[in-house]
Amino acid sequence: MDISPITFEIINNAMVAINDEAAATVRFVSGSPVATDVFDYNTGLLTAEGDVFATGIYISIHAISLEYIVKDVLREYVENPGIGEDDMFLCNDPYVGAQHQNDVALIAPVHYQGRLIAWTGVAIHQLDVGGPGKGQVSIGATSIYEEAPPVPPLKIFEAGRIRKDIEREYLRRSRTPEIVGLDLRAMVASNNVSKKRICQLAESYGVDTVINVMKQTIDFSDKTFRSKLKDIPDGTWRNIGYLDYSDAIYPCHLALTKDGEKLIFDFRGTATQAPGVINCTRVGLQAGVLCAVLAYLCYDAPWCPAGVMKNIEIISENGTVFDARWPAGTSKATTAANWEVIDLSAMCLANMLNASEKYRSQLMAPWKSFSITEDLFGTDQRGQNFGTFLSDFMAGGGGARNFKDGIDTGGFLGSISCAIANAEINEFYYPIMYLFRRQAKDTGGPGQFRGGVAIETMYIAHDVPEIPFKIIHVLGVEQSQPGGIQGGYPGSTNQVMLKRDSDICSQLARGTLPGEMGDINGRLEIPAPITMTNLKRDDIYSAIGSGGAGFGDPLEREPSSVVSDVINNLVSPEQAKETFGVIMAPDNKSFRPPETSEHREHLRAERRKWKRNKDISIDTRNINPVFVQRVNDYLTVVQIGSEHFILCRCGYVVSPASDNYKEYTCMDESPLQQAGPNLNPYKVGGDKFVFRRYCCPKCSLLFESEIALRGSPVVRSFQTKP
Amino acid sequence: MAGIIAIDCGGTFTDLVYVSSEGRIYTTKAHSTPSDFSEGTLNAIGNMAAMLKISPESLLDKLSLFAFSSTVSTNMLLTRTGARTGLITTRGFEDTLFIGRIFQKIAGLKEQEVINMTLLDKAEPIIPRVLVKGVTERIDYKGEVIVPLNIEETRVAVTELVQAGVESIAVSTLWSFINPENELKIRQLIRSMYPDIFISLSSDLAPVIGEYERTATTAVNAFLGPVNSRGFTALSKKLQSSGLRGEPMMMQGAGGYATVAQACEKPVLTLSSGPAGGIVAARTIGGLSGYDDIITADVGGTSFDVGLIINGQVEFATRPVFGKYSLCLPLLDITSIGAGGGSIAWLEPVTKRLKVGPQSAGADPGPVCYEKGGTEPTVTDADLVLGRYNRDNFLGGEVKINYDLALKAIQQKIAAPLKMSPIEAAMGIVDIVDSNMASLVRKITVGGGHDPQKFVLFSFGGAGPSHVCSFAPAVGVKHVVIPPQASVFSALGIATSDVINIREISDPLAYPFSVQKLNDIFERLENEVLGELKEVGIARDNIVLTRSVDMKYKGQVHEVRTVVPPGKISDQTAESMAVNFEEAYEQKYGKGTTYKGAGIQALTWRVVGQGHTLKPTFKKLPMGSKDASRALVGTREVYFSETRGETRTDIYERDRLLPGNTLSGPAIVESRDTTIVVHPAQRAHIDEYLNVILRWD
Repeated sequence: MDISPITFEIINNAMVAINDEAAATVRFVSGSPVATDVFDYNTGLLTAEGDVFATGIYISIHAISLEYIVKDVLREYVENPGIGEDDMFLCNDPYVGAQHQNDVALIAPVHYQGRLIAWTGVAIHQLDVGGPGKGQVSIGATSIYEEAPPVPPLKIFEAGRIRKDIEREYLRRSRTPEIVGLDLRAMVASNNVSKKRICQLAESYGVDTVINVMKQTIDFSDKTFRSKLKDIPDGTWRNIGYLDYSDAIYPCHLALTKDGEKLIFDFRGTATQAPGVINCTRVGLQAGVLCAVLAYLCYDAPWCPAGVMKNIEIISENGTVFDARWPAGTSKATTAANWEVIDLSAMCLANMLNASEKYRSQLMAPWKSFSITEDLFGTDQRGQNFGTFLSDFMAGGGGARNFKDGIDTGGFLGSISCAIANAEINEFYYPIMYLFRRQAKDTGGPGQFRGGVAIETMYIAHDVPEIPFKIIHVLGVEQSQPGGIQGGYPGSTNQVMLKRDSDICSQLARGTLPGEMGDINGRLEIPAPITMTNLKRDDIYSAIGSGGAGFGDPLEREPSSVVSDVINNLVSPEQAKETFGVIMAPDNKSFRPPETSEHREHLRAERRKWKRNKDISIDTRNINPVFVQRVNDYLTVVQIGSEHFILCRCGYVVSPASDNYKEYTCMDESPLQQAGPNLNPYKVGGDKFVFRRYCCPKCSLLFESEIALRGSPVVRSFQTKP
Repeated sequence: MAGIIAIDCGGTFTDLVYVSSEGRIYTTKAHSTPSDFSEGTLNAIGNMAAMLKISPESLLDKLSLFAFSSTVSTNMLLTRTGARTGLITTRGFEDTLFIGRIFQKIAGLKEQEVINMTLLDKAEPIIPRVLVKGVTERIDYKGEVIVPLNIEETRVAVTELVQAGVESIAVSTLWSFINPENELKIRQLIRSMYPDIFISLSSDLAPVIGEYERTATTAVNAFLGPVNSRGFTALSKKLQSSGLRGEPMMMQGAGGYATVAQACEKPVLTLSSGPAGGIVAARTIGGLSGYDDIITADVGGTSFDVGLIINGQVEFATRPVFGKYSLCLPLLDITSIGAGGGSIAWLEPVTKRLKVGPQSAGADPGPVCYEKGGTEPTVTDADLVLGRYNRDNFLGGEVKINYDLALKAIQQKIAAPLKMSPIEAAMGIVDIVDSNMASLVRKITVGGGHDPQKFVLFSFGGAGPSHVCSFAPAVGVKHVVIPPQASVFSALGIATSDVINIREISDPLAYPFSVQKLNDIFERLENEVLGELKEVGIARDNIVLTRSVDMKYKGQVHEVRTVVPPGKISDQTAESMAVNFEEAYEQKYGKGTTYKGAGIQALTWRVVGQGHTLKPTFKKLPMGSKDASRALVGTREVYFSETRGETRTDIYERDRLLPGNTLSGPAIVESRDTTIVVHPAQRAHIDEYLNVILRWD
């Protein structure tokens, strides 16, 4: 069927508007700050077959959930219990389609004159859906049986109304039933809006036209995506990341291959699933990939996951942390394995874009990864029960771009629209008082362009004797997930600190406000990253989040930019000197040019002393390398004779292209703390991780830096197609 | 009464409306002079005087009111050209403006811009980080002083700021809206040290909960303060030396005016004052005909601005965004998208999808047909190709337009690649822009819980009347009103405004409310408002005070503005507030959405003081014959989507149409500044205020 381009455009715009209206409805009806303030939800429109052709700009991973759940219902429920015209199905089962149990989705078929023409769906993160652990994580759980119960698709809304019996069953287990109940209504209202408006479109334009527009939307998105891939050189980009959870380390692997008009994400080699809460199912894996792909490659058109996913192949092994097998626990998936998938994918996509002359300005070094997540439960200052999670640490650093710094306290990749609550709002609702909430110095990954800095906070319990339950569950403590791009450094690790039995009360009474942990007397306690603890009247809690990763060799950064960072309190004069090689004047408002040049030369000379594994000696005097392909700003693939080589921008031939070029560079392996003052300074978990750097043996330009498990092999980060 | 002059200094034109003592309305325009807006203002006055054949002095001399709005504040903020400003805040919270609740990086952006992440950034700071000084002091959520202000530290901070060259200081500390003690001490200290520094205090300007928005509002005010004061005061002096008696008034974004002195102290309140004028005008003109529920739809060259009037009441924005800063200010709620006469039509490179906007050819180069170097086809070009605009006499002949160029651009850039005729392509461009406009109106009405069928739609702005015939029926409004002053509507609104003063304060209380506390809060707010209005010279009898409070369920985020009855508050009134809240909540968010178990909280209390001033009288003309033939000036071929072909269409001259005249579509009504398109099957008639009323079945 042929649709006029005008009709297509008008209906397509209407679909985007419908999805927008559905998302607005959630915010209207939901009372939960999770939806209305943090925007941890999303809505989507799907074809009759369950392909998502429109989704909102909120948490993008939810879109994949909707697809999985609709397809499951289509597969399992047509006969029994049936898919009726005014039915809706609720699901939070990660083995069917949810990301983790706290993400509850509600999907609804859209019928027009008795015919199933589309689906609509919405997913909202719930504060508490039961289980042994308050909030989202059951600390110590070894399988999903010890977590919040997963609910496979359940017909909670039947023939136009909520089934009271099922609603009671669903709400019974929650510690926050009012809010969960209201969110259910928000999801119903949102689906009703979409259903009604899609039917109106069918009425005005004809049902077949509307169905065709859905299909064509997917085709157009598919076509746009492929045309972009066509302009990117073929190759493979690899990265290894880690989940540091409860004394164990779970290495995670990705090899991203771009082959013609296809992207292949190969996660084989990733660690076996954990006996705990951090795993994600295949749903989470696919969602993580989609999240990164939308951010890095779909910046120029409304998001249509189905069109994009057509060109993506995902390879994984069942029974791993990224593709968990029943009954592995998944309650922390979205802030653990899922996030790791996003980081690995982002890193490889950034390196892939860097190889494209046309698209390199779209690259971002990875944004902040794991958040410091903490749930508080207890009695508030008004004597009432409360339970919440503080979302301050969503304010991580943005990844550096190849033309400017990352965004300071910019958020995270998975939710562009997120917001943190005002400190006053948190203090009003919860029994806490902040001593500071500010941008944390030296947390952005250094580079020619710096990663955005993270947030740091310090607070005490206020107007209550104690906060009895403070559940901290955080990854990215022993190592910092986002690696830098093209010689940029990683951002800071997550740090949580307590000072027990402190003198804070007497300090406040004396009229002083502490500016640092060091200003306070007391017993320093570095809690385990996964802990249930408490906060008593004389205790202080402080945390520093993770920053974005940097881009390019830090010694290439304009000294004036370093100066303005020092002035703006984003970089310390010490780091200006040690990492950026910039010597500040004593007033810290300007730099000393001669000393800076001298110091930078000295640092470069030091790099040349790093060890080399392999040496290539090619006399380049009489040969003329022919350009084959760009790798990044520093490296290119060239042809000399019949062989391909990797060439530094200084003209030095680094290695044969058939081998791992890093083996031929000058390489340094240092303790992690070499990467900056905010990388696991308290050595939580010991020193399992090292910081590796690779530079040009001739000009000592820094090609790459990475955090690696001590003793692990050197990753071959890229491989061009021979 | 004596005459009224109202001026709207926009980016391109300075519009002037003069209402004579007999109630006759005269309008004129002059080019705006952004470097010194007083010049454009005086030129507009000169034009009007010339039109009336009197001297500017005798024109100004006769006025009972001179009111103006200006985009100066908005522009100064957008271009970051305000004063060098410092900020003093609570130690440990120096970065609040820079963190901007993360959300700052996308504040005010459209979805299309949001997803292009590599181009996102936080606001270009109006106060550099080095000019933010944290001082030791702390107040808690109850207003209790936990740490008293460290005066010595503050003295050092102020000295450093002044040494760094600031001429303005914003002061915003945590919980100052509950207990302003520390902020007041800081102000006192600055005054004693440097009496000439402009000071903006958060507890005075925006005493509401939420330190980011409160600080941003205070910072913006301080940033605008000194420069605006100089500009406004200079204009005031020039006008007075040219014969104006009394003080000129300044329009505020809340839809009423204040004295220049008040505006100099709180320049942030003048943001968005021009567009507010359009809403006020719609309320006034609509009120004459008994319309209570109005959608205002302003189509300019680059943007489409929509506002609402419900039950005769204007709607206030919750957190309006300017230059990426979210502010807590009582501004009228206006939503815009990039859709207007200058919006560019283009093809998406890979899929060849036809898109219109959000990029605009603006005033320069403008549409292709203007022959000012524009090469990209725009909505105006499409309208011209479809025969809607008069090729030989566009806008009364003031602008020369070239049909052939417009046709060629549409042919080459759109029609040929899509393999359609240029007419079809032009129709497509218009259909798409109209559907985008319809979507926005739907989003604001339906999305906000309002049924569009209850509303009439006021269409104004240069390109509005050419497109309203298409998007208004698509939204499903009752009918459309196109006022005779459609192109200077904001200025007309300014001429008909009241004096407005709004005070609000956050003082979170839980239900059941303490009656004593409620009476204290309102007494305080009302005294403040009355004091300000007294300064303007409004007699108490002419003042209407309206109370409201933002209430919510505990644990929920939505606040609903709830009206509080006047007079002494009793237990019954306090109870009725809760009932009113629940009703308002269900109306906005739907039946069954209330959350009774959670408990009700009241957060921000507000008093709106409206000081009635003398209004121009709009003459109601007698309705005459239906016959519009004396205004019929010719016919031409116009293309309509309904007929999918060229249709011989009657052309009318608006100035000749009289009350009672009726005409049926297809028709075009031309005037000096707008072109009204009436589709086939639509009807238009002229009402007793010379509005064109457009209806359909």
